[in-house]
Amino acid sequence: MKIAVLVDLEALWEASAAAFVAGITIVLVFSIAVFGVSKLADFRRDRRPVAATLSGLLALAGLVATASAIVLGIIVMVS
Amino acid sequence: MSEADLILIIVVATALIFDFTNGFHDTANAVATAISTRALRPRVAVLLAAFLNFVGAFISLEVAATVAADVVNAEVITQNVIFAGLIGAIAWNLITWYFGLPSSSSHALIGGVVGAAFAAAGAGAVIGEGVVGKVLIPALVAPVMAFIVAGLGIVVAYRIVGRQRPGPVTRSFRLGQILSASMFAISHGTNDAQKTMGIITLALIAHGTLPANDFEVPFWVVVSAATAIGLGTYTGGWRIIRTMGTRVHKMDPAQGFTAEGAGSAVILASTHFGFPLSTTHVISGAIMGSGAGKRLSAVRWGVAGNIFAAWLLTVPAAAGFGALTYGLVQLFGSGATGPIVITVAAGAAMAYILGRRARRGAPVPAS
Repeated sequence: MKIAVLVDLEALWEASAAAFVAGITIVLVFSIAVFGVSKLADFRRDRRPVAATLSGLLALAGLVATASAIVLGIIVMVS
Repeated sequence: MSEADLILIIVVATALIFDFTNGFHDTANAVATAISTRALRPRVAVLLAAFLNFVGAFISLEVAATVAADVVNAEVITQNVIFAGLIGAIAWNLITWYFGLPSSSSHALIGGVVGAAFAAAGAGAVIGEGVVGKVLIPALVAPVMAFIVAGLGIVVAYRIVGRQRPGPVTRSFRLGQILSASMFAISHGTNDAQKTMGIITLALIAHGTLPANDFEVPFWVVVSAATAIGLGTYTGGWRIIRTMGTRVHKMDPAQGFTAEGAGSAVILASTHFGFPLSTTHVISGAIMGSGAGKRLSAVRWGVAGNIFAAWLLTVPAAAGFGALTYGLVQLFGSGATGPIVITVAAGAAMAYILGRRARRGAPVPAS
């Protein structure tokens, strides 16, 4: 019997794709948040308020995206 | 109380003990990286992992449905078969623990039940498509997937934050690890507690409490499995705290966050599709991936070999023990005598092995 008959390739593919997208997205958006936090500290030290504000917003956006991705993942799990 | 009721109580108690040991054994998966990078204090990490393992057990029932319906033919399974499968899995776990061989509790559980079912009712009792398609292949794919996701993830993370000052980056990723460790604890509770739920559901079908064709996992089964894995996690955590310094290799907070994030993503996605995985194998794959993304020589290929060997060995070996246990149970007939005798004998054997091991020193931990 061919392995493709035994394995639900569609489900396996969907699970792998979902894991890939979710895993990379979480790391990506959180790293952006970390980048924003790091830059915020640098710009505040250099007394550059506009750049610091923009970095803070970037950090906030990254954190919101991270939280949203986690909440979305749990909603998909529960549904 | 009828004999069937007595066997059901023994089977449910054995399944919950198995679930407790699963939480006990796997606490390190959720908290090891967070403690080793000092993202969380050990006491807080263990409490958090225990609570979130408990919570995670309530999120989904897909894996429980797979174990109850897609691995063995529920219509021909008796309670003694399920009991034999559980004892076979516990025996294999104990033997591999004693000799320091790599093993997976999840694969042992499924292998034990499959072997006992085969011994009881022949090949017709085993759903080959389910075992291969829903257990064996996903079990091999998942750690590889975790390796790839964590490997690419750490490359992405280093690309973004690599030129920043290390202080704020380290502190931020440490905070992030509270999130990623929490997610991993939830995913562990979700996937692993459901295997026990599936086994208890199968026992209820064999007992006649639930129909074989159209069943729902009872709420008390969910609560008891969640409690057992949560208590096991809490109890096991204290043992892990004592040995933490020697068992976890050095990794930075970004690697810890990436490994746990990738592991959680793989387990949660697989759980949604009803694939019962070895969470230990997944986090091992993710940790190796986060190491490989930084430096290829950081990969511990020995661990990769252990995972492959465990994948290859555990299901057939546990199946053999499950079949053997079923044969022993049947020597006493189809009533409650067999399970009672085997439970007493297994308890005595476990006490002897644990006592002997305690006198000779701790074993090499099985993965």
